[in-house]
Amino acid sequence: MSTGTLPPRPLPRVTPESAAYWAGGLEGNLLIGRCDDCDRLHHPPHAVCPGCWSSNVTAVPAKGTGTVEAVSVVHRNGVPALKARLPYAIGYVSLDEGPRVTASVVGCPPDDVTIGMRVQVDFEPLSDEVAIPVFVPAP
Amino acid sequence: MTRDAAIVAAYEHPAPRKAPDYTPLRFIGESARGALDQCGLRPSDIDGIATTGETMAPVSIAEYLDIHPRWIDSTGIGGSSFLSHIMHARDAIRQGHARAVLIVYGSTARSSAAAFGSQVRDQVVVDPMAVDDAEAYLHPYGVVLASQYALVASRHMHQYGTTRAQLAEIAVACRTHAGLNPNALYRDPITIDEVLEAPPIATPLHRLDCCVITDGGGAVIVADTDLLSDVKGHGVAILGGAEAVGHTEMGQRDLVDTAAAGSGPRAFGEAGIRHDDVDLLMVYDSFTITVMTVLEGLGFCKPGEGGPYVEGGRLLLDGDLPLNPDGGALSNTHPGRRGLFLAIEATRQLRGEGGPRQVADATVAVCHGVGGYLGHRHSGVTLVLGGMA
Repeated sequence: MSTGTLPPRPLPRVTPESAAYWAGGLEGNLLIGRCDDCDRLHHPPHAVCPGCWSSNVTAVPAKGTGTVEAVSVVHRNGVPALKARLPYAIGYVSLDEGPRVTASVVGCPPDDVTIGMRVQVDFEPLSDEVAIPVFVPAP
Repeated sequence: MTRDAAIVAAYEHPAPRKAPDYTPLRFIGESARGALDQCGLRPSDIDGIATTGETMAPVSIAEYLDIHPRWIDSTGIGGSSFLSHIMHARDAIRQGHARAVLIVYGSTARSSAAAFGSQVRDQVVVDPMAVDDAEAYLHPYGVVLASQYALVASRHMHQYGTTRAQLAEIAVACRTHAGLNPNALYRDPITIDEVLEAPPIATPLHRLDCCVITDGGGAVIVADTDLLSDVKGHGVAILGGAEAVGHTEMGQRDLVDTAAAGSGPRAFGEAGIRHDDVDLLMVYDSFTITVMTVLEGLGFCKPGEGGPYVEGGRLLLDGDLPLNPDGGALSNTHPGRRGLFLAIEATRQLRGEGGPRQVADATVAVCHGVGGYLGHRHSGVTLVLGGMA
């Protein structure tokens, strides 16, 4: 997705636990954690299952579709890269698999994002190792 | 004989809400002195210290005040921390680990222009011991503190039909009370319409739904009740206290569920009180929605009924449940981490020192602090205080 002449977003800090998640976006995959011992799904990615504390955790691609559970349109932010994007919508999105993800909702005017709206994931590449998931209205 | 502890001093620094000549340590030192003067203790009587700040904060303060505490608490769980310190100090004194604990705070949040409510950090300093990985998943999107609370408000409104006008009742109540507090930052009355029409910060929260940012400091002393016969004034009993954590549950959490539902019932149970025993409620009112979810979590009304509950002036001084008589963080003072000021105002009220904003016949006060991000990781601490008159 084009961001026009907007200054680049702040980069997330990449750690050994999150590297695959951020890189997954470069290939169009929204990865969520799944425990091979207890089957619990989780987000964000962790090396240890939050249910049974097993280390047998695998990153699996989510379908990338979900529903907006809560939304806020941000009108104030002093960080230049984000100030340039004001006003912007932040959504709390419930993935169809269950876990919730907090992320930008783009692709429509921010005030048009409503609770209950169906969305699907898209990605904004920020570097050679990071593409962040964002959500756009489902067709 | 069983030891017990009480709040024997609760001092709020009288400096203006913007005090560029102060440092946090000056606020801390002068607040500590003010608290000693209230109760008649001397610096050498203080054998315990509690505060929150950077990792070594209690040690730095001990050096600044040249004390050698034998008991230290630096529980750092955001703005609710000081309520934990008071509870922990009581328990430590009961166990004989200390006799007089200084709980102290100072901040120049306003003079330092720390816009922590509507700004995320541009540069992330990597601390090799840091365990907080949340920032990485939030800051590329511009998720600010206000927007996390706003997500909760958005969900509450959708799920329960809560209106912005109902949230505004909370801001109006706090402003009404601030009008009776000569030290409050904002004292001019506001209307519900003015709250609705204020500029948006992170929808559905607008400017008057959000707390102020000020400079300030304060100190509380919790001491062995055996010291009371030696000190001036009278104490406030720490009847009950409890802590809880709320977080994302790794993607499983409903936004409207908050930590208050965990800490509240346990604190009420320890204190042996019921809701209709409560004469006043001090809530860390970072945002209007914070108060509404805390009212529900503590059980003053059922989940989802906070909107109708706050209508009709219930939270005013002469209402059923007076909220934040000092004007709260929404209108009075908020030097970050407001928890200490909840206990200070509750103590003033229970001592009958509220002046024009005194709640009539106040004998039981409940304080509840929310630390961190309500819509994300947060702590909840409930403290029940009682008059000893």
